[in-house]
Amino acid sequence: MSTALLEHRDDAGAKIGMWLFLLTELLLFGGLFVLYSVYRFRHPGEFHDGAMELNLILGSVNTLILLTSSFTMVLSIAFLRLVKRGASLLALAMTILLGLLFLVNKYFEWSAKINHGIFPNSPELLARSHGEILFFGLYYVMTGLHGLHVVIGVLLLSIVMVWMVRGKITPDRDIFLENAGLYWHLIDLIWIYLFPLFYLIT
Amino acid sequence: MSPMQNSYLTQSGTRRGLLAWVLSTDHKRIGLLYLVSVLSFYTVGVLLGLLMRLELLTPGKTIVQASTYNAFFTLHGVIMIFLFVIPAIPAIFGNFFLPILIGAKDVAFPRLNLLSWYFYIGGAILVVTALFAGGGPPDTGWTFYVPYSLRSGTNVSLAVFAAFILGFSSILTGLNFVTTIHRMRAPGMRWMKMPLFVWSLYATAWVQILATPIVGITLLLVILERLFGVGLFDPAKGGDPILFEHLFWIYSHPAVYIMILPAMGIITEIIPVFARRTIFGYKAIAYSSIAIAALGSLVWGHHMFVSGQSYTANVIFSLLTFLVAIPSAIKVFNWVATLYKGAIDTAPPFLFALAFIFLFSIGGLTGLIQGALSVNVYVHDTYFVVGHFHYVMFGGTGFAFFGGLHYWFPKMFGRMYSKGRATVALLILFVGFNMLYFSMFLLGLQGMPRRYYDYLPEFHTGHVVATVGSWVLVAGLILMFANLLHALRKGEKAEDNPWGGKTLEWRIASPPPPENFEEVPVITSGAYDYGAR
Amino acid sequence: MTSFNTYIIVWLGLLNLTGLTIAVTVLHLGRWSVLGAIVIASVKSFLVLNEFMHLKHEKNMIKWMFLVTLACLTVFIGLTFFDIAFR
Repeated sequence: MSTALLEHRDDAGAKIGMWLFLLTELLLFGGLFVLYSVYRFRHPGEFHDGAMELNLILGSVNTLILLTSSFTMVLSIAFLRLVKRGASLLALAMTILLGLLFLVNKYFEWSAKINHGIFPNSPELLARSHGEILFFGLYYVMTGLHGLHVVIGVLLLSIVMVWMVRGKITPDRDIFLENAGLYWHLIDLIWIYLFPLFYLIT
Repeated sequence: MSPMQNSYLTQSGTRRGLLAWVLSTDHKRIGLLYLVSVLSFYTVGVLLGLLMRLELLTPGKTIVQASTYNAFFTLHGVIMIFLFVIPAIPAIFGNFFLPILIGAKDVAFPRLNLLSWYFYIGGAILVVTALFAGGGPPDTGWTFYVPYSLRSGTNVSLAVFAAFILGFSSILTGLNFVTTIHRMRAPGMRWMKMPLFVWSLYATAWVQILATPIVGITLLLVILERLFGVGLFDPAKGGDPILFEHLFWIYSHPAVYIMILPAMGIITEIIPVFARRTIFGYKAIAYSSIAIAALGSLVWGHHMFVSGQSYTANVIFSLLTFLVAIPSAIKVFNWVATLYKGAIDTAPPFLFALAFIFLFSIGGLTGLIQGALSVNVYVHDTYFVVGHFHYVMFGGTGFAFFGGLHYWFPKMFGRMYSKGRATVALLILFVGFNMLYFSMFLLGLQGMPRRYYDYLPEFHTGHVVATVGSWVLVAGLILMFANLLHALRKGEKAEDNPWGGKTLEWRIASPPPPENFEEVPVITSGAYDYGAR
Repeated sequence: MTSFNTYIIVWLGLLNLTGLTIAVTVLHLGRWSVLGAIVIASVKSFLVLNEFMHLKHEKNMIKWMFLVTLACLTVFIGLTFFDIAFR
């Protein structure tokens, strides 16, 4: 690569690129929201029954965890801007830990359901009504895809943390941290909708 | 240094040989990587098409079994759509010329650009693997309709995953282009001064960004259904197969505009240069690109008129479909108006552009015929539809691609091909094309269903004409590519501006230097300033 | 330090809204609860977008991009329902 390219740096451009990517992520989930809205429209009662079986406490706790992790994420960026590297790293580490905690909860939630015989194509589930099969199908697919994004987010933040320790990210060169933050907030954003759509159906 | 020595073709930086190409982040080299790979898969797609036509020469078995024929049309579709028509113009000419046309050194994210190519190659390798691995080549048609795609024992998962990866490549290219156009324009290159090819790439990039993720998730769902039997598309579990069609066409109809918009952009570049006239209705053409992208996202249901979707939806989608014709027609009118009183130079790129206008108009008008609800029920899933989309995709995008290749070839490689041979090749191509695909309109109206291996005796004549047409068509293709390949090695040196173009690529050397411009160009005039005539 | 105060207020606001959305469900407001849940989720996502993702400081272009995406999704769901609701 020529040196001219290495020197080329456009933070505003990098941010536009990141936002465009986030939009594609929104639409990726968007396809699932199309399915969700159609099937909920057709089976309101069964979706309610399905939601009653989900663990509202675990779901709520995970919501609080993810919201708090978004908070620590913005703190990390704000601290870096104030040239408080230690505080910034600490906030970033908290974000990663909260992300992992979310995954641990998700693991317990899923395994409890699976132990009760509720998982895609399970005999227990197939014996139920169509609406409930669809509800749990969407539940696994949507929270699964979201969980996958949390995993990717945690990995991304860890890489950013390494870069920060190595001095590749500095107060006047924080675009990587900012963009990773945007990605993390998007994960939060999607969960903000998934939570009421799956756990809170009356 | 002479321009030939200081070109992107020879200056490869620190790496040597093949590595200097497959690890290069230069947008021009990446453009050529795409050119070579896209054309390789195009060759495979053409061969499959040729074999299909050969099989259909006689009723019953001619050369292969019915199941092999199913694999042929599936792979022909997958390869031509995902590996040729979608990436061809944006990934090859977009990569090569977008930065030059706006006076930039490169795209906004050069390394991401290279990554897109690797995604493309990765997807392509998966498609090829799906041909030979365990279950045998997929036989669902390129649309992967459920429920059959959930049940087929062939390599559907692999092919679907390949399409997913190719979608990723397409999204990243779109994202790169939007950012590039927003951030990298040279001083003075205001929006209304941009070459119209750039406008068309901009509209295309937005469709790539906003529509591709929908098909991405849809294809992932097919894989999940096959692996875990979730049931979201399975009627036995309450799923609705028609929703698959909705999600599939929410992407795949706009994808048609991913294919045709950049083609229209190339035609808009060629016409004013060879008519020596300022483009007629610059703003109308620019905005109609955006209008096509927007309206094109609202009409997907016209693929589903006989799927069992509601009658209300049929009527609404039919109405919306007619609306898309308006911006397309605006473009055609403007091209023709540009020609009026022009000083026309009938060089090969221009002849390709004329062929485009003729063939695309037939494709577009037959599209309107099918947009009408009642007629659609009659011609749905017949050869009429096959004829229509080949007129649009091949007669349209394909011919524009070849036109662009002949237009920019001297710039890309610094050599000129034989114009006489190119013209002869175009004529053969044009005759073969119409023999092949116009027969399909007639066959369709007679009632020949698409994707059928066998047919009744009354369709025989039409099929024979089409098959002979395919031979003529391929002869034209061979002559055209042989002419270009010959020019690559033996062609005379091309001037910097052989056609008298006014856009920025014609102000730099042929082939372009690695950094495109010695100094950042300052734009003071419009892209097609030929003066009033 | 104003940004820190803002962040803390937004964070507490988000936590409270989560509590509120659960309360709304438990109260069984019937058909209004769906609307309530969506409205509260939208307020929360607006807060995250505007304050945490700094959308309010971004150029208009990024705001437009986001709105276009939302419009697309609305159209996709809306047009699909011309089939689903009338079948």
